[in-house]
Amino acid sequence: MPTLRLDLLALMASLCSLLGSNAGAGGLKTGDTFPDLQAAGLEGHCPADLKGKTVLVDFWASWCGPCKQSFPVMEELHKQYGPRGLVIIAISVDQNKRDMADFLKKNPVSFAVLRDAAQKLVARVDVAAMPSSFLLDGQGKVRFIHTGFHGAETRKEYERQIESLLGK
Amino acid sequence: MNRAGTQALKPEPQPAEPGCQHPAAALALAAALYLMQLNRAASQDHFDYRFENYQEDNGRMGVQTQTWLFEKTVKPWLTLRGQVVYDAISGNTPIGSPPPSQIKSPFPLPPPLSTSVPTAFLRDNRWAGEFEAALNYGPHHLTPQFSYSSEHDYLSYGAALNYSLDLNEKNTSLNLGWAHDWDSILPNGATYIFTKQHKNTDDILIGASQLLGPNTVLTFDFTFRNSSGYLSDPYRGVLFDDYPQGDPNHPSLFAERRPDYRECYIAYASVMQYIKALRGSAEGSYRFYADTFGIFAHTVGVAWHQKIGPRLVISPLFRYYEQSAADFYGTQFAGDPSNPYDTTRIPAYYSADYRLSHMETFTYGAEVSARVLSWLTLNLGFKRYEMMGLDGVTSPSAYAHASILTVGSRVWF
Amino acid sequence: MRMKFILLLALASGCIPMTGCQHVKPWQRGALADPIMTADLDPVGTQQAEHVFFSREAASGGRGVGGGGCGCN
Repeated sequence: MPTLRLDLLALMASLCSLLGSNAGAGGLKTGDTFPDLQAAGLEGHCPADLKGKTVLVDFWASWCGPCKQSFPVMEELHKQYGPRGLVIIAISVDQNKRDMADFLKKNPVSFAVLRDAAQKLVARVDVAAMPSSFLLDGQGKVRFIHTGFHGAETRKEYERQIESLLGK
Repeated sequence: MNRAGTQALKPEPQPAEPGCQHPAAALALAAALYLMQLNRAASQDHFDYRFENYQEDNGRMGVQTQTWLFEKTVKPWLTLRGQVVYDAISGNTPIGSPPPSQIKSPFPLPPPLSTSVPTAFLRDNRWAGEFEAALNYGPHHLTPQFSYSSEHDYLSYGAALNYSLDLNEKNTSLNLGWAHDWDSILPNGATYIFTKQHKNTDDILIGASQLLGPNTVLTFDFTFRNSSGYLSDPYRGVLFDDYPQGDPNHPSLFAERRPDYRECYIAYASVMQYIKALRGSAEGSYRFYADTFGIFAHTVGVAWHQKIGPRLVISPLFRYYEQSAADFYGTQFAGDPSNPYDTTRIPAYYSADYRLSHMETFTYGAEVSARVLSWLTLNLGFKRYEMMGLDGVTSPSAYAHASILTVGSRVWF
Repeated sequence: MRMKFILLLALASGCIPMTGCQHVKPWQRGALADPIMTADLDPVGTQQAEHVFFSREAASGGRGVGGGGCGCN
């Protein structure tokens, strides 16, 4: 057995050559100003005047499992906080428009849905996972970031954070 | 029955008692049905059932296997998986003797003697279960697993631990695995053993998965295994040439003897490539195997997954396997272990199990999978499995040729 | 035999970063999320097939560890 342990250490050491640099740490952070959506070259109708409004920007894709769960939750948030001024903008990164259309057929929503066909905005924002969402205040600054969607836990956080932003 | 010297010889095998209804399967089914009704929203949780009918040609072995599996994410950090397997095994299997036509006998017997290896009928049922809990914490994934298998002549308890680490924004995954099996081989009227035997096996795996691009996944795995204890087949015998035989149609055999220690080294690599233009993906794999029994084996597998329409996937596959013979393999051996005056040197280890011979196998077939409803997938598959000897000595009749039919379903909940 | 195995392992693991990897960002994982790209599309089917091979061939394993033993080999 001692010889086996030495062999294992040798194996671990050699495998450490796989540990390249951890890429992707340069994304948008809280406090940063979110890029201008009107100028981002997105497909679809972008809500015009976002100044002074609380905005939830969500990056999603038809192939992303947790996105199927997040859509009904966002629809409920839209119904609950829309009248109080919350704007939800869901941006798909689908390269195939039909995939996005099929997803929306199965998960119909009434908030704004756009498509980042060239995947340029999402690359600029450099999200860490799919889906990722950003809560922006009236000045367009990122106040809260959600990486992934974790069901009831994420929903509670959304409610708490939106309340705090709308309350101001 | 023929007995020889101090070596016990195998009498006619007795069919095993048929298995009775096992409460574990009913429990697993009840648990799965309960979990299913909890939440029908779009989810990755699922319950699988699959039936496989493995049938060798010419009345050889047939196995009907049923598998029930459930997987449920109970918390964002915890996914549970459980599986129950039931095998019904019956059919004829070679006993280790060469064909009667190749056995020398002092008595003149009318030809023709059979050129096929003698077989014996076996029947058994096997229940097996596995349970694992996948724990996730950021890039860390730890999965302990427990397994159990029970047949009338074999009992196995297993424990395993798998760890994987996501790196480079999930472009790289490092994997470590360890497993230990505690096995017992149980005697019965048909075995060459008379007391319970034990076998212990350790497996260690180190591997990595790497994305080569948005359409390509490369995987490497290295496994080291060691087994110790009773490693022979308790049902198979060997023929010693100089032991006096009576009727070659009912040869007298000695218990086989394999080493009680075995180290295995395995290197495995696979590639998965997505081909958007064809709406399909290709899968290729290669495995190199070497062990201290003297066996070297190469395995190459290719499969294609073709999407047809929005719901159907058809997957043809082909697998080629080739192995060298074990150092101690032979169809028959010189000498007579029971005769103290026989000067022929008896090897330390000897086996005539055709599965240790120099041979190749071909597996080919296809499976169709259809997502008939958003929550239901059905699948149907057919494969042929052909074994062929390559040493020119082992009788072709020893090797199995089988048809494998599978039918299954997956319910998403 | 063990030393040769370790050297092979070291060589292979050193090769992986040199294979010209294109880093895949989270939003570029559409193809990888397709069910036909799942590492093990049908775990039960794979296990049943591996069980057949284990019962008839001298070599076994290589893709993973665990799953317990049986008297079929």
